[in-house]
Amino acid sequence: MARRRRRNEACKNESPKMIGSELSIPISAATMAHIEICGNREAIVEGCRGVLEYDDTLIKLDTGKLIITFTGSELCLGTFQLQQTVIRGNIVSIDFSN
Amino acid sequence: MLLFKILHFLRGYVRLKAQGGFPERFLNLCSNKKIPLWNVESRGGILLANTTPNGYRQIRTPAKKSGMKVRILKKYGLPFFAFSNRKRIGLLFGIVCFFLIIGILSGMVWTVSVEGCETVSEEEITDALASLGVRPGVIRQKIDIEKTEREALGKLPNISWMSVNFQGSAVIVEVRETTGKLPETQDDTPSNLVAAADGQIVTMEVFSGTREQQVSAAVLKGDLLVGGITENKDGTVNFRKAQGYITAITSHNVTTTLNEVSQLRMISDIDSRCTLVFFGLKIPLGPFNSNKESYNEESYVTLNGIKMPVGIVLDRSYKTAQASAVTDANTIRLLALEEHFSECSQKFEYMKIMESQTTLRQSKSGVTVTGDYKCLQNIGESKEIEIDAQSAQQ
Repeated sequence: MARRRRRNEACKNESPKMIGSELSIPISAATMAHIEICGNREAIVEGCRGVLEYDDTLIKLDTGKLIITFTGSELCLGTFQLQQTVIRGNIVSIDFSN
Repeated sequence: MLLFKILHFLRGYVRLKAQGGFPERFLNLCSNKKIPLWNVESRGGILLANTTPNGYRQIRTPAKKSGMKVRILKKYGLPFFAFSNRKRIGLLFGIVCFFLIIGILSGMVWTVSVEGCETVSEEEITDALASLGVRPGVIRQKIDIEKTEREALGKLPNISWMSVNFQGSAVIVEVRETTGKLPETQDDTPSNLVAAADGQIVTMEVFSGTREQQVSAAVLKGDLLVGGITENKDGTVNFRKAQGYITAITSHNVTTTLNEVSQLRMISDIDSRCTLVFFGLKIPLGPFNSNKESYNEESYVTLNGIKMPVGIVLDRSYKTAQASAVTDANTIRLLALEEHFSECSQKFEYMKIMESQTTLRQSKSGVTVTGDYKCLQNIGESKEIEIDAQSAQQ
């Protein structure tokens, strides 16, 4: 049973990679957050699970595997939904941490 | 983004202010409850955000759980505007009228412009189209393009191709004119070129026929200038139409007498009436003017150089009355000269005045202006040759 469970878990981990490689899609697209940045004025984060910290100089988002920290000035949330979060303002740096 | 703004405006939204407690927890709870939030700003621990009216109704639970106090700052959008102005019937009526007028006017023809005409005037084409129902103020859907093009081509013989196109509410008519007219029938009747007036020849160009005069020669009226009969080497003759361009200095005398100044008339009154033109509809703004000899002055509203179908037409008719007796000698002389030169301009329309001498005489009966003119004119006049049938056979 334990062996079968281990095999199933291995399959689960391997399947997105296999599909990704077959369809020529980056592996991370299925499992990780998708970030789109327009200059230093706007960033669109897809796959956000929640806000950890919010201020006009710092926004910390939880995307599951990563915690993304936006620092800058006059930061605001243009749209805040779980599917899509839009961050606007003067973005100075973006930090990724586990 | 503009689409979102329009949708938000139509559905209405509120700007809220949340303070105290935990803003992050509040945002997450709102997100879990699917309460839409946008333009979220944090200013010194105060959270400002926009949400829908429905979202605001549900926001109480997340606010309570996160320990925040929520207040509405302002309400925006059409539902709130309509609610606050629900008692203003006039405003509602105005809005309805606005959309109704926009809807009706957008279905009408506003302007008719013509492109591609060179010799045929634009007015001629627009008049022909107007008679077929293509004019400002007509409902666009009622225009049968193919029928209009066909019938307009029948009405305009100098147009070989026509295309009626719609560009919004404007009708743009593209035309192509006919090229290569049929050659005119030439009159080849044998004729001579004779002098139409007494004078001295200045230039002489003979295109066909026999030259009978020389440059600087003095000719009398009726003298032969270019003969239509040419003699061949074998003694036979040919009859042809003599053609040429012969100019000569001719003398003219014009005398004008102004006997009665009292016959003069002057403008006594101007009747003017304005007519408002709105999409082909003419609304008179004054009493009806029965005088047929009226002058129209049209002024239309133009927008970016395009004539709009809205304007004012000013009809002016002049009433004349007998002028009061003119006693001033200078005025009488001026009037006599004006009449004299007006007569001269008509008489010498196709001549060039080389020399002129004008004398003015005033007597008891009136003023006489005499002018001696030397003009350069084309004196060639065609005169048919009378050929006897027997002599022609010989």
